[in-house]
Amino acid sequence: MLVRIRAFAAYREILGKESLELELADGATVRAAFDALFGSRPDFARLVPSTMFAVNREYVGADHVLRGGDELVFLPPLAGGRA
Amino acid sequence: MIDDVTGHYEVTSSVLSVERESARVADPGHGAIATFVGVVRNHAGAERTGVTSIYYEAFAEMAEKKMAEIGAALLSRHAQGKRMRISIVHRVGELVVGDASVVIAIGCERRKESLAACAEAIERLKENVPVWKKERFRDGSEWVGWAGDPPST
Repeated sequence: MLVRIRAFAAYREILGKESLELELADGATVRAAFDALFGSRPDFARLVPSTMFAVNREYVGADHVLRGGDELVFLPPLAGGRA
Repeated sequence: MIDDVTGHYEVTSSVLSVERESARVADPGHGAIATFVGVVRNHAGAERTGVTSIYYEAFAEMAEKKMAEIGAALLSRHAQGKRMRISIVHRVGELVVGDASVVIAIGCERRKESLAACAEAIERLKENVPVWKKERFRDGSEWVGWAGDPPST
C-alpha cells in the first residue's frame, strides 16, 4: 500500500523535502513507517521519544495501523513545549 | 482558514492585528472582548539570550482544525449558555523581535467568561496545535523543543 508522508520543521530538514510517497506492507504501523525512513540514522534513538504522529490530521500513537492513502505526518516537539 | 459557528481560526503569513480580530468577535450583546497577543522576545530564558528572530512553521490544515476544536471546547466550558465568539490567528514565517506571533480575541456577554476562556485558549494552543519555531541567534539557529541538541541535518 502507498502512504503519503509529510514532514515539518526539523523533520522536513532531515528528509530534505516536504512530502513523499512510501510503499509499505498492508497492516504496517506508524512505527514501521518511521523505522523505514529513519531507522538507519545514527541519532534515530534520540528522535523517537520526542516525536508525535498524525494520521489524516489527527494525533495517533506509534502503534496506529496505517491504511492505503493515509497521510502520515511526523511532528517534532511543538513550539509550545518550552515557551 | 476555518470559520464556523464558534469563530475564526487561521494560520497566516500576514501581519496580525488585534483590532481586526477584536472586530471579528464583536457583537452588540457582548460586554467584553478579552485579547491575548503572543510576541517574539529577544531571549529564550536566562541561558539563551540574543534571539534576533524566530522562524515559525505550521502544519496549517491540522493547526486550524485543532484551533477550531479548542474554540468548541472553550465554548462548552466557559460560555455556559452565554453568547461567546472566538478568534485565534497564528502567524508563520520569519518574525522579528516585537512581532505578534499569535492573536486571540474572545468576545462574550461578560468579562469573567471572556478572560477565563482567553487564558485557557493560549495554554491549549501551546499544547495541541502543530506549530514549530526555530530561534535564530547571531551565530546560528535551533528548533525549539528537542531535548538536548537539535538533530543533525
